[in-house]
Amino acid sequence: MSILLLLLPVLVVAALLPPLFRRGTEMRAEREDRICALRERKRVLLAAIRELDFDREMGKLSEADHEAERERMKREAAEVLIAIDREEGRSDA
Amino acid sequence: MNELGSLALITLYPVTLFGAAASFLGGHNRREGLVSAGERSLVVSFLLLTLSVLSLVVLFLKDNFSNAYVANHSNIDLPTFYKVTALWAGQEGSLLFWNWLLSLYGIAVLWSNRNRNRDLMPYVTAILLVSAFFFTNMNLLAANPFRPLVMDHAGTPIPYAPPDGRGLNPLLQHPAMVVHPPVLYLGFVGFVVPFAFALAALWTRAPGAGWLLATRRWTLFAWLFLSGGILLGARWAYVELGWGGYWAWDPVENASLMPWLTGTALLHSVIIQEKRGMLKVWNAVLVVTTYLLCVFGTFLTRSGIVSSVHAFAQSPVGHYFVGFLALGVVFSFGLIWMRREYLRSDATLDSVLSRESSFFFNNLVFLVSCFAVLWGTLFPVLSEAVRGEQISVGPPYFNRINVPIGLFLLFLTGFAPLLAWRRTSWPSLRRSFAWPAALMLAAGTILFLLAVRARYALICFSLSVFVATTILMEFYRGGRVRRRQLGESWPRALANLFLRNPRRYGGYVVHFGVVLLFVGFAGSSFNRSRAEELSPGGEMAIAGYTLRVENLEEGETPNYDFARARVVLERRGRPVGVYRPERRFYYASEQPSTEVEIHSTVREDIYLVYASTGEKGGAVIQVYRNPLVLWVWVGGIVLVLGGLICLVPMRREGPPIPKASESEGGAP
Amino acid sequence: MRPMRGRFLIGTGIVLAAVLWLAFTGFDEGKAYYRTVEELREEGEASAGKRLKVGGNVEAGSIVWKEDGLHFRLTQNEASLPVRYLGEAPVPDTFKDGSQAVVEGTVASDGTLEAVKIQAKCASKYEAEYGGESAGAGDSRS
Repeated sequence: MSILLLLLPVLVVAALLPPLFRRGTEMRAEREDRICALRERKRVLLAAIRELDFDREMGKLSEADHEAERERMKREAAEVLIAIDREEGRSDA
Repeated sequence: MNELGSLALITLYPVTLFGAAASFLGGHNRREGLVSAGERSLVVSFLLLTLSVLSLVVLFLKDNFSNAYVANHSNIDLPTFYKVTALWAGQEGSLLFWNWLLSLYGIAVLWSNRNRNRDLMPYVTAILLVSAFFFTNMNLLAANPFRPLVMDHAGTPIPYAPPDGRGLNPLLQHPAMVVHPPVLYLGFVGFVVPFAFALAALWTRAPGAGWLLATRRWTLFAWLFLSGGILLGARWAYVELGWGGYWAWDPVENASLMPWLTGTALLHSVIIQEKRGMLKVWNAVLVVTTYLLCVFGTFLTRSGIVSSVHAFAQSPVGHYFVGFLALGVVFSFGLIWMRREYLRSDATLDSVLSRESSFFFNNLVFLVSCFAVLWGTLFPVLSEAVRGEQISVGPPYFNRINVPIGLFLLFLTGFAPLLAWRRTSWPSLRRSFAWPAALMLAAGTILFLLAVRARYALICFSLSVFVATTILMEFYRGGRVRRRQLGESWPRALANLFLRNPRRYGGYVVHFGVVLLFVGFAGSSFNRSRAEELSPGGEMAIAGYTLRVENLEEGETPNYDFARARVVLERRGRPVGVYRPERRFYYASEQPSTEVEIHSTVREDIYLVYASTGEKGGAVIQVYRNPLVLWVWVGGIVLVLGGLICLVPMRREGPPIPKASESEGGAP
Repeated sequence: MRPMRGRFLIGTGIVLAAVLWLAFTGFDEGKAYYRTVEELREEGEASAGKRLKVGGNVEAGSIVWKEDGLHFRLTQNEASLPVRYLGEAPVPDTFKDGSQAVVEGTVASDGTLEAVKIQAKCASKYEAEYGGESAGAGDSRS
């Protein structure tokens, strides 16, 4: 039992320290997180457009409201797509 | 075992500190090595806590009464099952258990984000470890579960074990009470995940609403457990405490209700930020408030502050909690203030008659309700601090505020789905509104003619009809669209509604559960009760029921002795069952305990209590007639099922969208 | 945009005002003053008619069931207070000789506290014996 007790802190230290002596690797660039966020945004927008269409079919929205809102969302989706292309283009360069 | 558990806790102390520092520095200086050391610290913390928890369980199983916690919460004859669950029966053990759950969430978050949100993760890890540090601190300094039972004045343990323990509180010897604390704690602790992500995103000024999406499911997960925990607590109070009700606005109950209120507000307002990029500050505030209320709730249930201010002053745990909460409030709200530019809204509210604005009022009312409950719960403490006199506010205060608020929320539950985003045109609203409103009025009129005159109950039943109709119409209209567009059969169309948009339609199921809950709540306006001493052969009548005591019996088991009445229950002359309400006396804890019997139907519950043995040697039987209680439990189950549906990942529809194959953010 | 903001402010104002009014009325209806048995004896007549919450220990052997309700005495050091329980609910399981109890009700003209609610906590005999400090008030609940 007492050997086990002594072993515990040793094991903990052995588990924690090695990464500290790893060669100084930099973290992955922020860009990937940015692309992730953009893709997530795109996904949300597309789902929102689908839901908007569905709401119109259900008769919750007037034609005009639906058109205006859809237009706005499409514009934002386009901007997001352009931003994604730009980020990805930069990674190829 | 005592030493092992203790040592694991002591080792945990530097590990959490080291890990928090390493993660933070690693994130700040972008050093992969430091970040990885921080993540390993979280894993090691989990292992150490597991070791600690297991040690305590083994101590319980081996009846090691030289440990104070075991001696105070167990005895030799306690069933093995309850020996294990006695782990969370008291303050020390439940704080340890809390901490263990925290680390469990921690490694789950690490694993699900191993390839995602890498910029946020160091800070998330740091915040989780700081939380763990505080609970470890408490476990070591103020509520050590490995404290020996007897110590000399210098604090050196004296190896003394009494022949038997004090026993587990008989009230806790009930299955609902066994699962209630872990479920509730899973809810409480779960809100640490959105909290950590929110702070990390604020700190790093992460772009987009990534943190929201990454934690949406975690929030829902925690909320589900919190809801389940509250319902199990209510169920336990109902079947075990023997006073005929399930909710008493007790500080302990309020403690779990408050984070539920803000958490529910959060689940709604998150949708607005996701769809419209609005309410960012509001959401950040809600996330922070909810987690801090969870910590505060643990504090309320564990420190006994409200039952007596003096107990609080003596309870060493109190200081640590207050310190942790104060630090949390200052740091979180300070950070929100510093990042107010980053949190600026992308859009503004366009119309009062829009989905957004209904969500806004929903949030406002949830928050007001939460604040009212907080105020009422803390009033004894506040009044003593300000006026030197403890004043408590009773259930009338809580009911007076929360019943109208609840009804308003019930109304919004039905009204909001009729509204469209941004603005709703009057004609479409009239069209959606006609049927539900007509049915609501019809139901109200019929109930009024049937002599239902309790004002709030009448409103509540009518609104329930209204909401249930709007929900059914949502399904009907949605299904009709699918049938028209895609030619699907009705069952298929309905199934696809759930699969294509689980959050929306799962949400409706949750709302339907809420309707059932409210019907059950309103039933309590018509509760009746009476008590009488009955000898064998004696009869008593209540609300169309007759109950007759057939015989009385006494007996004993190793754990307790009991007195029991055999009661035959009849409704309008027809027998509906035989019930045996019982009164027990537990030897180890020297406590009596009532075992109630309930005849439960969709209409009403007949709730039988063996209150005491009377002067003439008969049984004093207390009987309650509680209408519609079953609806509360069924509503609770529906609510949880709806929540589970919301957790199902969304199925894509139509032509595949290019490059949209990334999976959804960190789901549990 | 401006008039929109105004409308939301008005809506918010209405909600808050309604809740404040409810809070005020509900508060008066439900409030009860905490007193210890000793404080109550010192105050004498002054506390008559007020809704009170009184804490103390249940005097051993004082619990008697009578036709008009459950009678017992609450004690604190030297002071003692007669209590008659008229409430609907059965007394809690933890209520017995020597337990700590908080009763809620009003003082009648004969000086008896007419209680409608009893909360009780077991006296912790083991803790006194072992010199422990654990088992907070929260022990009986989650």
